[in-house]
Amino acid sequence: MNHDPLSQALRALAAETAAASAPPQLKHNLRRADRKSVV
Amino acid sequence: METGPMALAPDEAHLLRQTQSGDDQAFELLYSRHQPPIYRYVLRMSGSEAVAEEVVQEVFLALIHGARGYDPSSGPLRSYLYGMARHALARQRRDDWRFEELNGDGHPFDANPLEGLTRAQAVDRLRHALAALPAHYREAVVFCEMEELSYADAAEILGVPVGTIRSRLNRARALLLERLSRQGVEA
Repeated sequence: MNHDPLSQALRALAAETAAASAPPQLKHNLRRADRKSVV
Repeated sequence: METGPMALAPDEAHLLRQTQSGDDQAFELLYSRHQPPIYRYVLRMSGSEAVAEEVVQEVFLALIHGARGYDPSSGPLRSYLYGMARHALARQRRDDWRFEELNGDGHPFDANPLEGLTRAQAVDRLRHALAALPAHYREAVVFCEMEELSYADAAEILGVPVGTIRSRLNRARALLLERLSRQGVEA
């Protein structure tokens, strides 16, 4: 792991989105779309 | 044994077949394993939650509907999913995927343009500088510096030699420092 200022700032930027994830509704929409396509 | 997010999952071909047969549990497993890194990748590349959601939806709908072209013997599912996400992103940002050289104008730039800034200022300037990078370089930074993948994992996902990842990352860092220096002058 690099400890230079640029790498440290990049990790700080990454930390802002480290826990980012698609909203739960997206998964439900995908399953609904899948069932529709089967029907 | 590799245990991180890039660990190989030998059961994935089976899970994929089950998903495509309508098995909700198999889909849940694949989705919970692969959705967050794909979403983060697109979010960090595009800076847009809406684009990230759109691309995740496109990628996983394709997965449910047969994942045409995926051959388990050719590599892990995660590389295939990143590949689909990259293509979806490229379609949205077609102009951004051109190759861009350093300007090479010979003007020296500050070796540490972040010095003296608060953490919030540094992150904000870096966000803008990163967004302005050509996509080839930005994704090297996203994979290797932000996702902290190994060069080998990034090379596998992008389908390029490890040396290419290394050189893109070096050039990306030089471009970032140059852009950050300019921001410092213009601020």
